Amino acid sequence: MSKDIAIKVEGLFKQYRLGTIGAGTIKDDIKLWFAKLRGKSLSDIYDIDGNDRMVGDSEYVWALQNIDFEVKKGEILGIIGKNGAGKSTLLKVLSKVTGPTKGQIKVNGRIASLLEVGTGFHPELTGRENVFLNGAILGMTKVEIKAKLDEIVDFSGIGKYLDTPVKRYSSGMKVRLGFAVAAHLEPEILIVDEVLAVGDAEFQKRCIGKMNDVSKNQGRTVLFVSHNMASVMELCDRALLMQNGTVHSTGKVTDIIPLYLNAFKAEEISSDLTKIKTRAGNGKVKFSRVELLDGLDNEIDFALSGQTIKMRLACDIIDPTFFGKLHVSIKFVDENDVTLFHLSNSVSNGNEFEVNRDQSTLNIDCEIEKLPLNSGVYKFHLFVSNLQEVFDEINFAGELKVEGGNFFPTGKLPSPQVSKFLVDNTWKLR
Amino acid sequence: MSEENWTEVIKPQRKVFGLGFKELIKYKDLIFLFVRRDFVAFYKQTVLGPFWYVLQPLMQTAVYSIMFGSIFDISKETGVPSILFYLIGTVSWWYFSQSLIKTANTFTANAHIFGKVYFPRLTVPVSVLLSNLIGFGIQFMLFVCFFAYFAFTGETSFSHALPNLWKIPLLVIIMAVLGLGMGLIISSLTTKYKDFKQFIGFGVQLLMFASPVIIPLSIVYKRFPPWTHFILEYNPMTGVIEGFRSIFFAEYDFDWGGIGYTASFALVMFVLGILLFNKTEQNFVDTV
Repeated sequence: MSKDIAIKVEGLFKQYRLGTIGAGTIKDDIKLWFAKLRGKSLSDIYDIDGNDRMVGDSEYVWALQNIDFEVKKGEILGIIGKNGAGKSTLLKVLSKVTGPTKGQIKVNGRIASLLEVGTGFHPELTGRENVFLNGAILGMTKVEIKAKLDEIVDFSGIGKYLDTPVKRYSSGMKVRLGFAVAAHLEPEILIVDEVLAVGDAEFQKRCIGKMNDVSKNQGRTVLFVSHNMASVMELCDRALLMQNGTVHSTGKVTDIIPLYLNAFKAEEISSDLTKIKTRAGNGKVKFSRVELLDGLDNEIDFALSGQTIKMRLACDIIDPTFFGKLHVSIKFVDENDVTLFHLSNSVSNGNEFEVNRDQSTLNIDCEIEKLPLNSGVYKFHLFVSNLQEVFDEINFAGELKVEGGNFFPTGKLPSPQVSKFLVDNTWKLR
Repeated sequence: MSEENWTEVIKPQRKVFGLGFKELIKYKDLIFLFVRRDFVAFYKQTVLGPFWYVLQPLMQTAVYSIMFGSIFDISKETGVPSILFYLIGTVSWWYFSQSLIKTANTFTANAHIFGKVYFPRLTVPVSVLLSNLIGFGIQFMLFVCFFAYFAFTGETSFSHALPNLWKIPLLVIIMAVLGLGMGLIISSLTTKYKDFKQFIGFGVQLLMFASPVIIPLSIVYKRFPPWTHFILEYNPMTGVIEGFRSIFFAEYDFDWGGIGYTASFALVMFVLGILLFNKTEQNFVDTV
């Protein structure tokens, strides 16, 4: 029975310290050290909620709480959850990068983790030298790498650049070489964290294909973390939904993904974005409001297919020293988080918005002249950056309800099941 | 509980003492690749290449010989040509200080890699010791060349040095263990308290002035106040440097007591270092 279990996680906890680690740390350290010296157990030091009894303010948080699950051999388990749910922490503990605070993980087989591609690449060394270095860091021996060198070079497609220092590579080449090495690891268990988010579409497809191959044809176990429901759906048999550091549920992918998406629905959808806590980015600029308007600037609850609509966004400039270019984009997705289309000022206008030195807010209208969506409920993600650093990113910032409208002069529409998009077209006999 | 054969069990505290020697052996290829990386990256895109290893002690020796050699009249005082006196001092100090400084950087300099992949963390300091050994070897050859020249002119002689050569590996091992131990302690503390990073740079330099690299012991005893003798005698590197000199120069005696002190000091540092390192290793990613 236990023979076909690859990973068994039992009562896993992981604690982090909040705030900066500075002069106060040494005082707390000495206090904790004394407590341990006097033979106090962990439960004396921390109370049930994970708050530190020894330290006045609860400066500690539990990133993982009482995690229990099993992964069978040869299974691809997708780990999903919102930002901050504890997915990456779980992967870090599983791959031994950081230790658990309590509990244990039993592992059957060699683990290789891929939290990043091309870890340890040295810019001065050539591609070939870096393949060996990176491979060895990931746990391969020299002989293993040598045997696979041709395959790796082939997969990465960097061919004649192999003996050029990596510092001359484009970022895409580095990623491809890094993934090529990782893809040729032969661990029994592979842990992957959203590495697919990098690289172009064709390369991503190749990566997914490779991972499928690794698991289905070679019988290896894969743990895969992603925000991209489409690739989770495609790759995984089973999924594990995490929420606030705990396991919300596990089961078949097709059962778990709707739960994940509903979790977002449960968060009340309102035009006020300041209350949304799960957001990425450094927060120098933050979205504060989003409203849906029709062509005449009237607020509307739902849009009609073919109608002119405006997405009215407001941003707060939180960092008073910020000025310069601002790239804003909206991404519309369907109920499975599959991207439908992507709008951005850089692409549509050809340039970014300029923010002045003493500006504190920014009001933006994004107008869609003829909404090309069939009836249904769509969601959108918001993103703002200066093309170098991400300021704010809100997944599932709101919903766009669309009802059938006069997209075509006939007033008729195809069934939403067969056509989410509406495209102008004419038919004639000739 | 059932008797299951797990390859590995990940627990809150992995090990307190122990080097994880088996794991290190498993990752020996990685160690050698790290050594290669450090060595190759050191002279990539330089004209002089590995010659830089030689140039540094050479310049340092020249400066010391010109300045301190005449101030303290080294040749007369010790009976050893001042170039040889300073060269052996700087070369052995180089190995110790480089090993210490680079080992002390283990966690902070590799935080990025350590935060993404697990491999035995001790591979990094071990590879530092080995790659420094290459540099030390090159520099030592330089010393041997100079020594041969002075033997040719009759100021030194091989007949004293040859029967003592076996002590060289002993001294190198003591230096390596000492540098590793102290480096591990500092690197472990640096993960939480960055103060040590500021300290290590000039701390090593201060330690050099408190060793007989520049000023011969005999002069210290003659001209410096008694409290400085105390510092010099308890500096663990004093024994090693004097030891190297005694191997090559008949004027020096090999002080087994001093070496014994240094060796036991190194061992204590090493044990302490490993303890701290093991304690830090598992969770340092959270605090660094």
